Amino acid sequence: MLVYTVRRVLGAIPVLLLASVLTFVLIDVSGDPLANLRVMQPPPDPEVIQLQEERLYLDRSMPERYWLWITGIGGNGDIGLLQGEFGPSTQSATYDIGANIAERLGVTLRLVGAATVFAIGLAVLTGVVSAMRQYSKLDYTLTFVGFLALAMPTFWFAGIVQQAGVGFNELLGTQFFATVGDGTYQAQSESGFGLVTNALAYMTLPTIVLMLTSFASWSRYQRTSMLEVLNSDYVRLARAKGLPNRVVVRRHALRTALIPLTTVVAVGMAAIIDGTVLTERVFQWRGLGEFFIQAVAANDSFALMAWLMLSGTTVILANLIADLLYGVLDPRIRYE
Amino acid sequence: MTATDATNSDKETREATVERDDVVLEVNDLSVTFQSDDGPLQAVREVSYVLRAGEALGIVGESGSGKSVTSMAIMGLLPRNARVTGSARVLGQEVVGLTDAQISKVRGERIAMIFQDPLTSLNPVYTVGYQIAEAVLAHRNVGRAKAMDRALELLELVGIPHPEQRLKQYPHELSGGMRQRVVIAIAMANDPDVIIADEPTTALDVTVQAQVLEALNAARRETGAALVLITHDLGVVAGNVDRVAVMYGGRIVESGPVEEVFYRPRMPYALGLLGSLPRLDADRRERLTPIMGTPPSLNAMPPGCSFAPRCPMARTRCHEEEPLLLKLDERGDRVWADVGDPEAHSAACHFSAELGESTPADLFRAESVAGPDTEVGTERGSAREEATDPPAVDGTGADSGAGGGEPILTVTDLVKNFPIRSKGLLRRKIGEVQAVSGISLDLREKETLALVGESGCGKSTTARLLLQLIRRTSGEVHYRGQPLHALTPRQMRPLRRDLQIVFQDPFASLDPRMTVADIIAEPLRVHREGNGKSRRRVAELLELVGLNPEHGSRYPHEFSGGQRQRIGVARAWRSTRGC
Ligand SMILES: Nc1ncnc2c1ncn2[C@@H]1O[C@H](COP(=O)(O)OP(=O)(O)OP(=O)(O)O)[C@@H](O)[C@H]1O
Ligand SMILES: [Mg+2]
Repeated sequence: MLVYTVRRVLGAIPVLLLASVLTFVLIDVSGDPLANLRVMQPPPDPEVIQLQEERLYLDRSMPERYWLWITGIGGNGDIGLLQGEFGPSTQSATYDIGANIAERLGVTLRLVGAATVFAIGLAVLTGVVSAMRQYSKLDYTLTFVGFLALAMPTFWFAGIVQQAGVGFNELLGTQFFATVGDGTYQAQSESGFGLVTNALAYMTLPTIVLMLTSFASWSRYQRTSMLEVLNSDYVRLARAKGLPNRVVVRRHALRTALIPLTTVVAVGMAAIIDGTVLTERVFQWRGLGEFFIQAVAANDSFALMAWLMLSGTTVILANLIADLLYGVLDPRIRYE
Repeated sequence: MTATDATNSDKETREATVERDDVVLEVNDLSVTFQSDDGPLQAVREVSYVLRAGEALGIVGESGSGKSVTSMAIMGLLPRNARVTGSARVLGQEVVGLTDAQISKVRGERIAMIFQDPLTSLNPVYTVGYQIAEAVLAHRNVGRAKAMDRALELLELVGIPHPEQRLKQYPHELSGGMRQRVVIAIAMANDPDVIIADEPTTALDVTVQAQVLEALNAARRETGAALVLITHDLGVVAGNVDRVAVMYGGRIVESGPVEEVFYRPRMPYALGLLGSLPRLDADRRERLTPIMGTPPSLNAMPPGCSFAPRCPMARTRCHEEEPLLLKLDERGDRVWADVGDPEAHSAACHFSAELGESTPADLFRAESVAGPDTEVGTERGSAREEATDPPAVDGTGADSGAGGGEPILTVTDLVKNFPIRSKGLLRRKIGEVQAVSGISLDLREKETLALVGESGCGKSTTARLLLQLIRRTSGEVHYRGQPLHALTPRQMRPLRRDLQIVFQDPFASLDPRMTVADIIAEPLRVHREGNGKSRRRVAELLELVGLNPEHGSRYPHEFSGGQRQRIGVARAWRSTRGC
């Protein structure tokens, strides 16, 4: 198992490298980091532009710049992944990409974590209920809700949820749900129970928005895999042994039906990370999604690279965890 | 019409004349109806039988005749769309209509069941020991350790070598025969009074079948349980049961002591079943006498005897009036027999008295000669040394067709080695197992070649090599002159529709989420045939393998074991070839 893990981690490195080359080239050809500066009115001093070009290493060729971005050799000490530096930002000379990402990662992880956990929990629950009552009214209702959720555009749904939150607050006459901001600032003045209510107030609505699509597709998946298992010979044998229905469902059906879900969730992590961009925008969280939008707006190539590398690593990591989990859950798979 | 024929009203008047205190299972007028999209399907109709302590009853019948459904109805294991009427009493306790909680006390404790397919009967994620111990703990609160001890004891009883090690293994680490013995161990865990074995050996190869039957007999000796043995294999029935019931179209059409039914069948269908049994000792020139036609569609049962449309001696009365299950008395009249009478030999045929000493050939050959010969399909046994002989089995000139003597598939010195890899980081190759070592064979048009051998000797690997599903290590495979072993997967594609495979495990190879029509159409689609055309082909293929074309919209789990195997055959079949 350990050997397998090491092998997988080593195997991920060339994948990440290749992905970084591709994105680096793509970002480079798709925009000029100084585009905003160049079109400014009145036109800035050519010297200012030249200084900026030097600061951002734009005076070097693309391959050179890539090498520099990886190693930091020959740079000004603010670049080089291997040295823990992500490179200079276009947004300002003092903007530290690494520090910014680290700060926002905490905010986003909170959201992603909560959304993933709830999406899995609810998906398993509805999937199992739907499968056990196949073709009942409940099953049809859940199926309808699932497809509705899948069809709903996230930004639109986010708007609706936010409006609903505002409406609910007005109805109650208090700020029950926080509809704007991530609550980091407010949490500083709270402690104990207050921290919990603060987190709930800020997190409930965005979590609902972010988990919706994943929940819908995972619950459909769980329903199918559960149905398949419920019709299987070994579930029939478990019943024939005289085990009560509840034990059969939990121990024999659910246990095996969960195995394929691990892969689906791992693959779905990419979608959740994408989803944070829109969700954070609507609820005005200062998370990684917002960071990404700012980087795009500012043509900030190194910030973009940092974001892409981070999400790439996350997706690879999620897949590795899923594969390892698969090995634990399914004895037919053995990693040596 | 015999005036003395019994009628339904006699049924009430007949009284139990035979002792009933040792009856363990009594089934009375059990019927099962499935609600389906094409209306209600009567899969089982008024089945009645009685099983005494220690007795063994065989149930035989064509695929789809309702054998499995009857047993599942008794166990309460049918899906929700099934309606069960009638009664089944286990040790006097009615089990039809019990709630799930009530019937789970009966299952495993009084009545246990063994299923057809050992490869899918055990849960892949739990150890063998756990699954046996679980069965013990379901009814006896003895604690984990005691249950494990019992599991070990049971594994020994069913004859599994090194039981201590096997306890900790997972099902996929055991062969099919061993897994079936584990299922038998589970069945006997709580000393049940009745064991229902639904085709316990059908999916296994001949050498393993004997071991599994031995385990089954050990289970009976040990627990003293009565046995219901469902099977296609009349040979298995003959050696292992006291009485036999023949099912057709959801009914029992003949029942009685084994020798009686085998040597003096009183119903043309039972006679026909015996005739379609291949026998090694018989002259190979003599053909099997198959029963023509297919079983009736369950939602369109003929009004009279359900076998009448296929019966060579059917008369007007047979098409109009359904015969009751009656025995012949000394005067040759048909009268009621007590279901509890173990000696009674009853049959559902108006004319059972006329059947006398007929042989299957007398009755069915007359009919099959009338049809064109090709309908039966011409098969020629083939072994290499025989290739130069004149057509051996079937002198009807079937081989005069195209390519008679030219082999279409030639295999020379086929070898396949599988690597054994080290466990380290680099997974170096440290050795090889030889799965197939130097096979050569020729296959001619219209020939059937059988590969026979014990489990694990490389039969399936050879088949996969022939189809290039795996790459050979060395050797050559030529199909109609083309070297298959040298083709790229892309070049191989167009040939795929000429070379098809029917997989070993009928259920596992059918996607449970696709309708049967889609499953069969899939290879046609892949090989680009128009949509309307493929729909027509699917209907044709379903008919060809003896299934109702209307069943295309059903899913695999709604079919019986034998029907699923036919779906696999239909999928593999391609007769658009120019013959
Ligand atoms: N869930 C279901 N829904 C609808 N029809 C079903 C269902 N299960 C079985 N049937 C039908 O009931 C009939 C009897 O099936 P059964 O499984 O008892 O056959 P069998 O005698 O055991 O055949 P085999 O020898 O092939 O196993 C078949 O025609 C089958 O298609
Ligand atoms: Mg069956």
